[in-house]
Amino acid sequence: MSGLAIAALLAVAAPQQPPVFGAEVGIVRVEVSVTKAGEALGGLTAEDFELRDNGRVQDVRLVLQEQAPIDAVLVLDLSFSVRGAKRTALQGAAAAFLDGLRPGERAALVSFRDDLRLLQDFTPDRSSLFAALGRTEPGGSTALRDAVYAALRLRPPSPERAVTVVFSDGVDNVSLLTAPEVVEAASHTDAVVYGIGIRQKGDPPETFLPAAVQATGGRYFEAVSDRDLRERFLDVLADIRSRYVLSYSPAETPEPGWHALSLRLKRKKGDLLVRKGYWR
Amino acid sequence: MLLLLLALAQPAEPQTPYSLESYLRLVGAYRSANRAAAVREIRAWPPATVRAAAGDVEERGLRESSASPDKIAIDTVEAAVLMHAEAGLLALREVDNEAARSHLKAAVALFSWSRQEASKLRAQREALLRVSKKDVQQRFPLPQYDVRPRIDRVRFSTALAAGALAAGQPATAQPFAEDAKQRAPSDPDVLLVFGAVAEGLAAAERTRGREDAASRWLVEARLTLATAVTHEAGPLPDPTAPAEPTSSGLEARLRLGRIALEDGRLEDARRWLEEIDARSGDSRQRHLAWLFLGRVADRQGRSDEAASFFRRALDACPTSQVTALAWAHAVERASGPRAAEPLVTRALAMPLRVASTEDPWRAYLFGPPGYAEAALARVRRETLER
Repeated sequence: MSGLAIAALLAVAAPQQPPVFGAEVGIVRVEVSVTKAGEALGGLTAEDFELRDNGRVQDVRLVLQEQAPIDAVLVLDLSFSVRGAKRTALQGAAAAFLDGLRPGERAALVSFRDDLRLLQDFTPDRSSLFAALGRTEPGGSTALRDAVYAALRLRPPSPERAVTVVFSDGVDNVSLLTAPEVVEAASHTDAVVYGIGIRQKGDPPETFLPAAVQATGGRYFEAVSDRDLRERFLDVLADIRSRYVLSYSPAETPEPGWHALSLRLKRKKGDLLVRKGYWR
Repeated sequence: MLLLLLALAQPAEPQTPYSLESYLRLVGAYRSANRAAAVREIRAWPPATVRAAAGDVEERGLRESSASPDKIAIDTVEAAVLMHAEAGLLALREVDNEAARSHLKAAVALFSWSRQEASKLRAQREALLRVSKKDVQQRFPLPQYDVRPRIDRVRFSTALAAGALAAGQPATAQPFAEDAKQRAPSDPDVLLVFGAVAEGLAAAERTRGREDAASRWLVEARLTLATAVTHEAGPLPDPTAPAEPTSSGLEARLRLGRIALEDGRLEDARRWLEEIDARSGDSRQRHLAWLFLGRVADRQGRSDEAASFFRRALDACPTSQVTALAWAHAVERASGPRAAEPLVTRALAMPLRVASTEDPWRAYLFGPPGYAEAALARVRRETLER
């Protein structure tokens, strides 16, 4: 089943008491990636976007990147297969990502094997984060879904943009939570999920992570080798920086439940990547 | 100088100079009190040497009587079989697959060869007795010698299957589990191990994206475990009496409940798991039953009931991260994501386990804990202590 189809099913299966999306009461924030022929399309203004919330056109404004710092959670696969050169490459790639954060931006590190570990809680302190990266010890199975769920619930809603970057080189073989459950949980957060996978020849296609990514309007990157990892982590950072952050106060008192979002460019052409909706 | 450099650059040669006699001495040590040391030493032998040793044993031949002391006695061969089996399973656990393969192949090859040879020798002896006259037999009696194999094939195959599964290698376990099931299709222990192997194969197929194959193995597991319950020895203990802690019937019920949960047959799952809740005295089985019952209640939208089961599961195993996460998920469904955060925080703050086998869920797909060791110890006891 495609991620889109899963998202559609999830939209139907709404829980009784939907969570509140976003930290600021009444304000909805939506991140969107706009690309043309694979390249980020810059220079757009709020007037270029038409955003509908449950079918109603909203009056959006553009939040400047400088006013939208990020809180990033790096979720790193440290199962048995990530040892030796791959582990070193992963540490270097994650360090490059952390190096690219702006002063004041925070990150947290979660590792997973068949167990989960909070290597470092949210901090803007690079040295603590780098030290935590050094405490990684590969071994065991791959509890990918459980780890993504935990990472998504690690951070209470805050004004910062939430980004969850998940690296995995394998397929989940030990999580208790199912893929639809975690994808649904992802659609209930304000975090944008990015996935970075590295597959061996003959590996089955990874389906869970792309579905979680799609549910949040994120992006999935595939690395072809260990040496490629650093570039993919930096691709994630570049994608985060190139996104437009739109915000609006719903024109009418928002109804509780699932809010379907639809977004289009009014005057230009481009490919949009945005979450399908949010819960209020 | 160049020669010296080349000599230094050579990879380290195996330290063990091989001879059949040194191999037989090692087997002798395995049969005596030095079992662990012998297994350690044989594991240091390169795979080619292991193959050579097994081949040399076959070439030397099985001793048919005390009149052929140059040949090898069957109890020595069977000790070698168990030594290689033990070494192979240990290598599997350490993901030393080449060593595992060579030892398990040696174990199986020597096992099969010794049985065939023993059978041939017995047949020869019987034929000789049939054709020789009674007075000749009295004047020249055949030397008495027992060439009867002692290793019970079903138990041996079950032990290897359970051992390979415990090492996280259900594909390696599969042929052994199938062999045991074919020979003992109504033995509850055999069926339990086969069912657990089939569950492991289903999980492995799922990770490869082969959902159809995974479903087929899960059906196989369900049918086999249900047969195990049907054939379990005697009735279940009275619910008011202390339950049998590690009976294969209770373990089969636990696994049937888990499979039903995975299949979405929630009422079936509830029925199997409630039996564990009511009857099992095994803390691991009870923890898992509560965890799975919590998941059943979560899926049925019974959040209070789910919380109650998860609380009990966490009381029974306070370091179970999955229980805290499953509870968080149930709370989230009822009250939203914010309500889940404290339980996620609690899960991430749990002390790291030394080994994943300490967590009943993480160890679940490795088969019933301790079963593999007990099965091999039983075969060893029945074979060597005679």
